[in-house]
Amino acid sequence: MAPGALYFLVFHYGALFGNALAFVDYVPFLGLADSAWVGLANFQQMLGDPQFWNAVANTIVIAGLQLVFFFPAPLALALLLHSLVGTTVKRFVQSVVYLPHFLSWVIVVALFQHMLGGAGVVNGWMGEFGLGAIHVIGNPDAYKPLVVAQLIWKECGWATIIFLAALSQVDDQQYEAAALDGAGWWRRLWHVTLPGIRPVIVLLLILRLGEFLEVGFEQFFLQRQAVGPEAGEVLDTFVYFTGFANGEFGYAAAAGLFKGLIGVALVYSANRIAHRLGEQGVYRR
Amino acid sequence: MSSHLRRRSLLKFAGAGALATVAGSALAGCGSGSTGNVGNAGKNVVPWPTYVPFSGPTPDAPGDKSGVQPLYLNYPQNLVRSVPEAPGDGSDVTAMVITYGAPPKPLESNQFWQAINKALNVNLKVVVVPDAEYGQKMATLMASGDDLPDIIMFSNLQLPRSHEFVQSRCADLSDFVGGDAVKDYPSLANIPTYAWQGMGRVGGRIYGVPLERPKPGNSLYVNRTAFQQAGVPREWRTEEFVAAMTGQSGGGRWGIGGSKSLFGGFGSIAYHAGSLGAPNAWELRDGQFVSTLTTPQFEEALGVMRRLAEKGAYHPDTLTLSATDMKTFWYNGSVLSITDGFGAVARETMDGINRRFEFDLARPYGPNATPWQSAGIFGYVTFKKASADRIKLLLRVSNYLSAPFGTSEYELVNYGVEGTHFTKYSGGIRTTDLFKVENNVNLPIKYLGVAPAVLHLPGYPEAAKAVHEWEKAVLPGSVADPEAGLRSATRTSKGAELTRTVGDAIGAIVFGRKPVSAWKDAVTQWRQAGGDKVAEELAKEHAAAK
Repeated sequence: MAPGALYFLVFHYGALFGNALAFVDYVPFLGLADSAWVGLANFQQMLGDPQFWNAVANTIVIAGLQLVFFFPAPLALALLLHSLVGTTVKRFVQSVVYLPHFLSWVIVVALFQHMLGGAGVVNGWMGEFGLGAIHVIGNPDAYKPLVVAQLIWKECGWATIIFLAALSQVDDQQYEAAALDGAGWWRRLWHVTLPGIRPVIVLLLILRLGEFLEVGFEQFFLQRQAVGPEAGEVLDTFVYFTGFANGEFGYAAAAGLFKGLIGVALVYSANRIAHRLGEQGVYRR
Repeated sequence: MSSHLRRRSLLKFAGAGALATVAGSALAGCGSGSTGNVGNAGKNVVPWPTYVPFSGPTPDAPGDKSGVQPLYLNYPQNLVRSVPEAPGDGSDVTAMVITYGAPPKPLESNQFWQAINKALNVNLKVVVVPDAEYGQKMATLMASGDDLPDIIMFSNLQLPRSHEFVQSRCADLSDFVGGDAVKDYPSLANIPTYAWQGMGRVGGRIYGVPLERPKPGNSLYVNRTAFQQAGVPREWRTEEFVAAMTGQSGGGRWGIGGSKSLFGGFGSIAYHAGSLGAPNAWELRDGQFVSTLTTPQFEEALGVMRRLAEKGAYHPDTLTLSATDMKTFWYNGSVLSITDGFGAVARETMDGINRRFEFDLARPYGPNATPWQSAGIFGYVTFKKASADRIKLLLRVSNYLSAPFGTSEYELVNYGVEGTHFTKYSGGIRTTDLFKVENNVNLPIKYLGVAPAVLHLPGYPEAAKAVHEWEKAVLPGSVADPEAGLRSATRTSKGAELTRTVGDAIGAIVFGRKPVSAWKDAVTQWRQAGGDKVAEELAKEHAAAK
């Protein structure tokens, strides 16, 4: 257990002390001790900063869209895959849907640009057929659906793994019994499959809520400029730009800490609700 | 042992570790100087290095004071040796440097690198940082402890608190290069004073060696062949310019293209603002610094760019494409003009165009143009604090790499080894295939030390002539940025943010995400976020520098 303990020590408990940055005007080459202590000034600045709240609003909207559209997508895909009979076909389809997970965001974003960009493939066709250009990349209104679509394309397949594992745990006899009683596909899904994997769904949902504000970094960093900060800034890019690009490490740490606290609150309350509803949640009571 | 107890002892251990971390950083913090002291006002300033120009080969057309560069159509026949003995002592020299090329081949198989090491008599180790990651990497470097490379290269990119960093962590070179001391390093003495001034002093002292760049700044490069075929005149006015750009767009072709990084600041608008007479960054009015952003000329330039975008003359993916991608489009003729730094006047560009069309620069289109000059530098290099002997060694390395045009050192640094990387013919140099992968872009030593630029494009004399004609026509009316070399504490801490605010607003307005009226708000935001304070501090510095 020593390597595991060391890991938590160095990368989790040790790193926690970095939060002290949020209370100083941190100058990197002076170090923490010599940087001026500013108390809660960074937080005051944060609460009055419209750019911060803009980033929070964007993050919440995108996280909401992700929750509504991205969270159920792998479940649906997993059910579909599970219903496939032929093992070879299933394996093949699984490999194909896993693949995008291994592409970096740089590639995925470039791919979407080449397809949907102003000079991209789709607009090339539209031009040939004399139709007007569709404005997707660089259009602030289309930005949020676009990033969610990208996420589904990239991660949906990979996210099926846990659901598939859970599905394989559902007792086959229950299906047989239900079928004998005359239950069709839908009824078997509703009364056998979904209740069977409900603890897993709830667990994943709670974990997802804990990372609610972690919508991702690279994907947004790469595309932010094309739509401007009003539509494209999320908390992670905000922290990056204030911290690294502007050198306001203390302020950035405060914003990061804010995000962390919201995450803790969300996990805690979601877990409480799960327990109330008689679910296991992240731990058994 | 119960699991409970184990968890306890673990926590104790964690506490001890954290304490050690805090104590460590506290110790590291000791002894470093204070910040906010980068200004030169009220300081005892060290004199600029004495300018001792190198008497090189006679140019085909002379340069002049306005910044027109001496023109060399042919490569000089007789080279001078300017560095009598190798600068190094065989030791390792590490350097962190920006790169715009592919990573270099490893030393064992890289004959260019081997030749450079031999000539310098050092074991040069480079940490190459791709330009896109440069800001991030530098922020990390500045935040790191004592683990600095010997040579740290700074580009013109605004890095937060870089001057404080330089002041507290880099070697003070004043005693080695200030005034006549620079004469020990003839190639450094050959760097014109405007380049040293462009770099500026920090707290009255000199901390770096500038990487000189000629006076022309960001310019618009055009596919002259395409415009000539369409009957577009070389001298144009605003309406002719807009008509030419829109007239040539359509069917997979665009009049003008930009790139993501150009819209990170002023890059995209420099040509237009200069054309219409907007001051270069600031205008000095009775000792006050008035920002170009507040001038009607600047707003007019924004309007012209917006019209280009509205009429479909701008490549639609300008805000998402990298500079490299956009250059490819320019080379292959699908984009007819691009904005780029003057560094684009280089053989690599000509090779990229590969004579598909005639290379030229656009003349400014306004009647009272004030073309914007560059800062006179690409950046500068600083050295890690070390003994005087070590600093002298690094300066000798820098001196070698800055050897002027017409010396054998220049030839090695720029073209490699004769017979391996290039061959000579009467009047020129022809590079070999090996040069494509072994050169001073892939091993980016041209960003560690560079000769003052002359106008010489080996193999492309007609392009060099076109640039010379353009310089003669445009530079006399050009203006410098009055901020060059002046220090403002707000600028060093907030400059990056301020520049980005402006770049974001320009992009949003040009590409129609915001109305033109939003510009006023952007300017107000810029002023409140620190712009006004920068102006105030610069005025103070300027008064003190008199």
